[in-house]
Amino acid sequence: MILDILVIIAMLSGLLFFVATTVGIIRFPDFYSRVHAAGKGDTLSTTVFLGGTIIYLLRDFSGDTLLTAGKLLLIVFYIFIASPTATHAIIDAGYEFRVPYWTRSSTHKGTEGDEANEETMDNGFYPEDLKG
Amino acid sequence: MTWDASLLWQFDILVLIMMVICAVTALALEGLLSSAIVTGVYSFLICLMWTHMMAVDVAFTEAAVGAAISTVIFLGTAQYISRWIKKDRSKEQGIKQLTIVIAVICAVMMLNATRDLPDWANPASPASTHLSPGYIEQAYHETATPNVVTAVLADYRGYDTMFEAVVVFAAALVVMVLLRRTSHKHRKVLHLRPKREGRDTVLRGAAQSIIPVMQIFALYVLFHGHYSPGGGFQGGVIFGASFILLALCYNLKFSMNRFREHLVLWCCAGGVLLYAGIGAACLGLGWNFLGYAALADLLGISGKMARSHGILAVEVGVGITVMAVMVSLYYDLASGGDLEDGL
Repeated sequence: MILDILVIIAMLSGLLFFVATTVGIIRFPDFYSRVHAAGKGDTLSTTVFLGGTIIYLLRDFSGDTLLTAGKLLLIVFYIFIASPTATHAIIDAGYEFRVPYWTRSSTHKGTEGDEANEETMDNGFYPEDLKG
Repeated sequence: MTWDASLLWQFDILVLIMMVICAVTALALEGLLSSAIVTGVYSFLICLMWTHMMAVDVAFTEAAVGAAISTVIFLGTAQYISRWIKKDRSKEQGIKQLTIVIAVICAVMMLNATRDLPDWANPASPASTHLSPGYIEQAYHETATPNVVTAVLADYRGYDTMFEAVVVFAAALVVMVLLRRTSHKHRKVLHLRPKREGRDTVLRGAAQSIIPVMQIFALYVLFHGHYSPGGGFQGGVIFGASFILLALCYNLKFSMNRFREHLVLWCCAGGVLLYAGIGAACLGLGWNFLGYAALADLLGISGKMARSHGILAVEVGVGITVMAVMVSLYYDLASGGDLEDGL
């Protein structure tokens, strides 16, 4: 009974985080915050979701379910490594290409390839040796 | 476990609609890089379809080849092609329209042909009444291989599989012949790899923890193909993907130091040779080509076990070829053929 409630809580919160991720990807103003939403939200929601599945499996405990639960745990582990790494790589590539980022002072939303945002590039965001 | 195929038809419809949207988007997008990414999404969706049809081995081959390796190879190739299509070329428009006409004609013909096919999982279809029961009943007794798919693939239909391996090998040869003759004086490279010192630490750490497991899993898929979904093609693409991941997280040179160009070429040809060699050995011992039972006396085992061992040997051959071809395609396409610097 308690396990059932735990599973339901895990599933619902996983779904909630997935929705939050989607909203974040659509609503956040610039490249960096969108990717950050995708990376964080996806990793957490997948972890919680699969965690719920593991608990659900282990309700009737046997060698078989334990094996499946172990495999799911491995999937969780590798998603936990791979997803943030991919996010890091994407953000890093964007940083290197100087994709404009959003600031409170900018009057419009900065998006990829937005040339009017050039000015915000020069406020210490990039190390000196990378300029020019 | 019973599986009701009609249980999730809504899921099928949803995935199919999303696939059509992806396909149209990939054609409509102008940037090659974006198109490549959308094609990757398409592959992931078709993975879901195959998992739902319980063809797990096909699904993870698609995940490794379609979603991962093809996308990377598309990206590697796109850097040598100018990124935007010029719209005002009337000649290109003509070719585009011709392509659409040909595609529509082919689609109509193929859709017309599907009317003659039996329904999916129809028990009254000829394949289900004559062919499949024979394989399912006899495969284990004749080849000692519990996984019927592997037995059919590498034993009963060994010719098909051998020529599939040859096709894969030919693809690598064609790419090599085409790219290594091109001069690169005017090539422009998008420098996708930033030069900043230390930026790769996170990537390298992740690669170090994932790649060894990936390679062990690839070997497991290859050698456990007799008992679970998997085999030469599946294991080979996962192993090949691990080297491509190595090249992405470090660089092309690093990967090429680990798996040298000469060795890649030897493996490409060696796998096919191993397959054909076993077939020829059977022929030489007085049996049919690829009649593995001929190896029974040579190995000192029963004919049944000889077929099981023969399946394993040709699967290893297929695995070696597929792995080397994936790596070779990546080396050639990502570096534009000169194997010096690339994605």
